[in-house]
Amino acid sequence: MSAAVKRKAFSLLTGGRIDLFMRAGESRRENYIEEAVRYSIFNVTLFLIAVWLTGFGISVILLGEMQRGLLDIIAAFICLATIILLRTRLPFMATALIAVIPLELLCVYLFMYGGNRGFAALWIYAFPIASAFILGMKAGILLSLILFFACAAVIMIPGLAYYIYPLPIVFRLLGVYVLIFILTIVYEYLRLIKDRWIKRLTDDLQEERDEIAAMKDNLNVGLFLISREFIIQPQYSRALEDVFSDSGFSGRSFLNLLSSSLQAKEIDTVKDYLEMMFARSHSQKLMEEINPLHEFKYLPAGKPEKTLRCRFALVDRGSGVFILVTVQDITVETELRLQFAEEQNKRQEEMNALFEIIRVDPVLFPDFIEDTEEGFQQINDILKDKALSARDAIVKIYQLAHAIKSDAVILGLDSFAGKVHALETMIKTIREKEVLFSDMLLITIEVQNLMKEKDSFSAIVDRIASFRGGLAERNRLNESILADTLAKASGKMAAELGKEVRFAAADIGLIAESNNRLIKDILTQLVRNAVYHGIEAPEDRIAAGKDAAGLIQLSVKRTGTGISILFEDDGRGIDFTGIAARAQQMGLIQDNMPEDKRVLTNAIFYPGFSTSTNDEGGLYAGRGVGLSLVKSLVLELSGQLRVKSKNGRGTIFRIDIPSAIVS
Amino acid sequence: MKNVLIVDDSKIMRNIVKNTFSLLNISCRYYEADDGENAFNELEGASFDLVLLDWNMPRLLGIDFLKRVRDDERFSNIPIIMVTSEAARANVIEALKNGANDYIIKPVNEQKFREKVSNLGFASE
Repeated sequence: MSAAVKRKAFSLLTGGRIDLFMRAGESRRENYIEEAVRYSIFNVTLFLIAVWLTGFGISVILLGEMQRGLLDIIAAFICLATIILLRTRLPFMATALIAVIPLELLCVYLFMYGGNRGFAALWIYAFPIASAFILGMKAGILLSLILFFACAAVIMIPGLAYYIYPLPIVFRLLGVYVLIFILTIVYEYLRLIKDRWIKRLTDDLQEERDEIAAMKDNLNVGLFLISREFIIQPQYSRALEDVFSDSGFSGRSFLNLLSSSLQAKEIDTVKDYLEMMFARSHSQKLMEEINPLHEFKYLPAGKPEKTLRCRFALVDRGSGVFILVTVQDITVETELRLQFAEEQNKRQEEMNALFEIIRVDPVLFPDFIEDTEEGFQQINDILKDKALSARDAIVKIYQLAHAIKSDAVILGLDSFAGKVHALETMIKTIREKEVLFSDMLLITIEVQNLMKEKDSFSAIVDRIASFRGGLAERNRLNESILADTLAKASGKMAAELGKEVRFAAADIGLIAESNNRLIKDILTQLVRNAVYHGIEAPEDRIAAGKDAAGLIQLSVKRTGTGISILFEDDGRGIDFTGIAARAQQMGLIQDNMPEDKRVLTNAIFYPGFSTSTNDEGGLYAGRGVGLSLVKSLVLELSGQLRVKSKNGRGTIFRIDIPSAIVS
Repeated sequence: MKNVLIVDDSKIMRNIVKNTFSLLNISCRYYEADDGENAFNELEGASFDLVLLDWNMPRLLGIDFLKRVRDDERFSNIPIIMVTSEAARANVIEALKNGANDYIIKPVNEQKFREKVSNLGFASE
């Protein structure tokens, strides 16, 4: 049967109520379902009764009982008219009463009449069923009872019935009527209760559905279901579009959605994972633990990248098994966590720095801070100096950084020294190629960072000073401080290089009082140079018939024009052969040049000159800075520098500085 | 008495696994194998209650060993716990999909073993 015919038949059966049902809004549909059922029962009853009555009427007329036959046929017409009436917009109850009341009268009449041997009485059985189902409980009970009493009256009141029913038949007739009546009422009652229950359940479900829908649309997590084929189902939360920066997910493959963000191997892993989920092969807890999308970078085309987290749960639905996926944007959370870790790291570093500082003698600090500040200031000046060529600037900065590093190493501020060392290394690589503006910028930034670091140092030092009772209180003479500093520096460095050194200073009050930091820098560099290059390893010294510990002596004399600083070690002296080789390599001297010791001695003061070819000097020396720095510092002081090597027995540096500078 | 097979190419690691596992106070007899091939031979020699399987081994990798064991119906029900390094975490899903019952990320410790073993219904005595 075609759908159209079916629809027509259904429309006929329900008195057009099905059409109203289709047109009605969701909320009113329920009423039409109830009506359609009643109309259907009514229509069927009326139609069958009309057919039956017509048949009986014709047969009675053929038997010659015209009056009764016509009555039957009239009744049949009323039934058919009612069917038509039911299709109109008249209220159901009105139409129903128009049909049911004549039906009841007909039943009474048939019962009075008796028909063929009283069988017409059987018609009354149809009434409770029809009336209760069509009119509902109240009207049905009322009309059925009326019929019952009417029939009883027909029997009880003599002369009313055309047919005399024998008493046993009366009992059976009315007994069966009561039985049918009660069953009908019970059935109708239960049906109403059942409908009410279903309605309540439906309402609950509806409410739940509304709540879920509201949640789904307002939650800021993406929520969707995927099938066994990893296809995203049509119902998904609105937030999903925000989270995935996309739209129209329905019917798309979840794996394809991830394909731009994950590598093929990772996609395979996700696929394996989801398949395991569907297979329920492992516990939910384990599955959560191994979730491959616990945190991943999502890279939507043309949109900013995000960090997302997916969670998975298996759900059974009527239509099959699905995985419920929740997706959350955890970009901010992740960033905060990283920031926090970084912060933590910084704190840790500060702590380390603090411990290094605590170990240092507090009286040495102000000098260090002052020197470092001045060093950085000079670097800044050089960076700003447009007249200076980039290459010269680089060399100068390198020297200054080296000096700052030396001071930090002497004080044992290893982490700070390490950072300056990194700057130095950076400058060194830049120096080896063409110097670009961007390189200078890089250095500037790096210097800024180091200055910040130094500031944090000063802050820490001040704090320590406040509970140590004040740094300003210098209870030791400057002289011994300088001697101590240099002795400490040489001792520390020698220890690291596996050497032994004694440091002896005499009459250095002249330079200590002058408080000129340039002189201190010169001495620091000379100490470093002596320990690194001059003093031999203890075993070599013993083999050469010397004391295992090297001796470094510093003394200062007043001369006519100023002061004269003598710096002497008892090491191996200047290694002219090594210097010649290195100088040739660097192109400072020609191959055919005679080995003039004066030329070679000059070479060791050349910026970047070092006989050690690699970084083995590490933090200490060997980077070709020390002596060139000494030279430029001496020039800055308008001084004179002389070197004398006693082959195998040591080196003497003599520095003369005019008195105007010193005082 | 349970039979436990420890598969790992490093002897030190096998000892660590064995010593840690024995802290659980389960009376066990331990068998050892230094690669997948030998592990398979061990399996054929005795009936095992548990296999602790290292993932990266020379000769017959963990994954191949797993596949071979699970394809063999004699061994398809032996509980296998994959022991792997943090670096190889991505392999866990592959292992579990191919028949491993559970996994442990190195370094192993008593607590981890206790948890995993109780999941397998391998009660302490």
